[in-house]
Amino acid sequence: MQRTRTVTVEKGGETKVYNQGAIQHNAAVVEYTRTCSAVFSGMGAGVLGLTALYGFGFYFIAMFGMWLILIAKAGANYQRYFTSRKAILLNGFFGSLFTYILCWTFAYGMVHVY
Amino acid sequence: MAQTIGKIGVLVGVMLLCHTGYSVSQHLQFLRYNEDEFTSLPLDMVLEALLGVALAIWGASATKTFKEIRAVEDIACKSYESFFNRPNFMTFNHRGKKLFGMTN
Repeated sequence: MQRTRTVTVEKGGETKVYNQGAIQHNAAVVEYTRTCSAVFSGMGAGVLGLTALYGFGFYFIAMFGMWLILIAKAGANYQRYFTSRKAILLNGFFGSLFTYILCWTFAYGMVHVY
Repeated sequence: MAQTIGKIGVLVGVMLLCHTGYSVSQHLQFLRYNEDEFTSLPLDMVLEALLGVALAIWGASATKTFKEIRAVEDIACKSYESFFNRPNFMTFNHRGKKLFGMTN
């Protein structure tokens, strides 16, 4: 039997014990979804021919939409899966922006330039 | 089940995006032949692209499931006996090999 690695967090006078493997698994799921949505929204922005600030605005809207989808997936008692909801939106927010720009410029070039 | 639906969603969303890209490029070519000025994309193409993006993002989130992070949930489904099992202290190089082994 494999032992469960745990993380202990003390907050506001009460102690909570979390399963470390499950926390990492959930973070990986969020990262996967974020990368996928950066790719798909970049393709959408390129196809629509968005330029400059409109494209970046589209990224913000798409990430917010992804956040709402993940919150809806976690449900009302999200404490079972995440320690905070805000971290789902903000962790690696600007990291996947580069993935977005790559796909955006690629799709824009394929559809609108050539 | 949700995983399969999510994969189908990603597939349909990407196909919608590809189809939109093709129709936008056709539309631009049409404008070029008629020597019209490009003002804005037709509404159906914009809606198709947005639908494709939304469907693909939803599908990507639906292909994975979350795990319970509270340690109590993981421990609760293990039996009390299993806590005394220590695999690190197991040894297989002992007299049992000579006494009960099939070979030799």
